[in-house]
Amino acid sequence: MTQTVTAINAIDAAIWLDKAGGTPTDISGSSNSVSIPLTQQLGPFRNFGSRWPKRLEGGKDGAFRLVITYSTAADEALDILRDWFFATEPGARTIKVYVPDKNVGSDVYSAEVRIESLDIPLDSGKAEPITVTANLLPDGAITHATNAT
Amino acid sequence: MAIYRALKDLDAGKTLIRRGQVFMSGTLPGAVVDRLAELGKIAPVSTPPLAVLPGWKARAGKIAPEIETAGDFLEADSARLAKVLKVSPDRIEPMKLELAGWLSVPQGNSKH
Repeated sequence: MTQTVTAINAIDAAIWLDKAGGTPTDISGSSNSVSIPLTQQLGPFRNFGSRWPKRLEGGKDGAFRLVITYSTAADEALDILRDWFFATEPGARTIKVYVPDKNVGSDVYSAEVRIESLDIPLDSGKAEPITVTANLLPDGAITHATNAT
Repeated sequence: MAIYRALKDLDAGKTLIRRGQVFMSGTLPGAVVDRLAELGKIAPVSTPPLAVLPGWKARAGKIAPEIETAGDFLEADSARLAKVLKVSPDRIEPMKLELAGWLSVPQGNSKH
């Protein structure tokens, strides 16, 4: 069996999110992880004469689940996400996740997203930096493309 | 300038070049085009003679032999084409879009 020689890890992945003014900003340096669960609705049905179900395909959906470091500098991940959440009308912003890095030819997952939640867990018994989670949901399609910038 | 076909969807910042779409090499910076070609994400396109495209025989006769292929037409200066074809310059861009449409491969709807 042929063994892959193109496996990659996520160490140099890049996450870019719009600031309030719409300027794409690199928040990778204050983010720990991003998860992009992609789903498709399936409508199962069973007919007489078969033990196994058939399934029709429906709509697709997804999310961008960010885990970020609680930092105090402007224009880092928390600052951008918190300002966004507390805006009177948060609106949709562009997120782009580059894998394995932001070089030409890398994979880009992108979407216009809205912020659904921002979870700031505070624990007096922990010495580690506070890790904040944010859930961003697409307002339209999530696209996968090759980076050409 | 050369003409390329996107073999994958390409994120060019504010625009998305769809898989199968053709584009002029000048659309992207030279180093980006070279790298994408090296990675097999784009491929140069050999374009057909204009005369074989539906509805283009008469036009092809007017601009031959200087412009023979669809690629020659796409790369040619629009103002000059308008002068040779004796049409308004506004009509050249739609013609180029039509040609690009002929050269592009429609996307299958089950792939993405």
